[in-house]
Amino acid sequence: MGVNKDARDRLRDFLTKAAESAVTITDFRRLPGGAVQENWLLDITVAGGDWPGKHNLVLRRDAATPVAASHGRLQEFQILKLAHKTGVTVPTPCLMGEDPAVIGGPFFIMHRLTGEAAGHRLVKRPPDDALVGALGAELAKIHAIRPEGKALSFLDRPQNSPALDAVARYRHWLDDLGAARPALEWGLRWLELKAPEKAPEKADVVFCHRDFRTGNYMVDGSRMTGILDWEFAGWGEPEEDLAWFCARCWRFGADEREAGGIADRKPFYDAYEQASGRTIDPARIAFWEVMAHVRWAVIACQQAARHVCGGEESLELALTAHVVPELELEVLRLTGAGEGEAA
Amino acid sequence: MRDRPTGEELLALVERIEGGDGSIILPDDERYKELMIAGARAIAERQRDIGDGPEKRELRELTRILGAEVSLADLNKTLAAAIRAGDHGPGTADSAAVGRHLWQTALERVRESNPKVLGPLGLE
Repeated sequence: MGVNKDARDRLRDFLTKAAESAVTITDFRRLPGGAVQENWLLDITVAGGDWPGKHNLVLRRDAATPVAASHGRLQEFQILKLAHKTGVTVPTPCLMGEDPAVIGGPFFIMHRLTGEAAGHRLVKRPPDDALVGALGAELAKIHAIRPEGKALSFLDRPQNSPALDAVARYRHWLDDLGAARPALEWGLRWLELKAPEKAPEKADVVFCHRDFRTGNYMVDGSRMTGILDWEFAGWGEPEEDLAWFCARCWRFGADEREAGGIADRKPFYDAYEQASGRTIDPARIAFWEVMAHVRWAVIACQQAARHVCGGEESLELALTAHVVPELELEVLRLTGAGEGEAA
Repeated sequence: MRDRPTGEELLALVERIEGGDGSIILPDDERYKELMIAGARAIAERQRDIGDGPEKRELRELTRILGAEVSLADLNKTLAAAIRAGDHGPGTADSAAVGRHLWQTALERVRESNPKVLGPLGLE
């Protein structure tokens, strides 16, 4: 989805109104990645007012077709603001634009972080216990987010077992796609049988990022500069985030480094436990790692459907269909199907 | 059963891209785009080289498990629904047979989509 000159001019006018001073857009182009949302580099100069000078920003807006369970930009902006206020390391949120007349849909603007986010490049660096420890501590901060008043009231709190809710949700998504995926149904049935039936105690339900993984944080040198992509955040079990980070599918081929392809699990777990005061149960992580692969497989099916029948022909989306088999294989391996793999 | 877009469909997409079809969304990064085009071609080539043997095996095995002679798509729909209902799959009497079938099917599809992941798993 491109942005023509008229839209760029309308964006300039929107920024000028917000800044109460003349704004010049000096650079505006789409950043790589972001199959679910689009991120645009936005450099501006403000003539005066409260924010004079040059600003390096990112504009984030919906891709052409939405993905189930992805928050709208207004909700994501509210989450980002709360995370920022709570002291989580995130890009500073700046402005929300709800009027579709500006660039064709809602968007928000945040400060641009320095560093590298690409997972396939980060995992090529030497193992980094300090970085993975910083990420473990950061995740503990996220799990400590407690909204005040009606902030984030749009997020449902689990009334039942979050795991069983997730199983129901992913089945629903598969049904919406009309997709018959016996291997994913196998994984979902296994999860259903192993999931606790009851809702966890209130203290065991935390604010989850739900896409906390390599590729969704920025690293500048050896320093983590911010956690990105809050579009899936919601209430859940802490192990969901811990397992998502460690799942094989997010190690970008550096399989031996089980914490995000960056380092071993131990420094990640140690830092999380120390910062959160919780004790990690490896069996619960193993359970949620099966869920992680099922979830990513269902989302990959959704992305492929956007290409095949959603009117959004994209080479990247087309290839995402071909990630599903390896995710299914991992689900089957982790649950003991075939080849005598241990459950 | 092969996922869509199939290898043939990927190849047709690549041909349209190389023919200058501007309606297809592509990454801005030229190197990344070339890598993706190479990946799409490789999947298509592997599917062509492997042929229809995996789908024939899948059809045969599903027919045996489910005892019905219908299309591969319908057999997969039936199996998916049965696993969800708890009639086949984890915790059932035929879980070993169904598990082996699903494992073999997934393995065959990974051999087409991304065989390099099989080495670290000792599955080459």
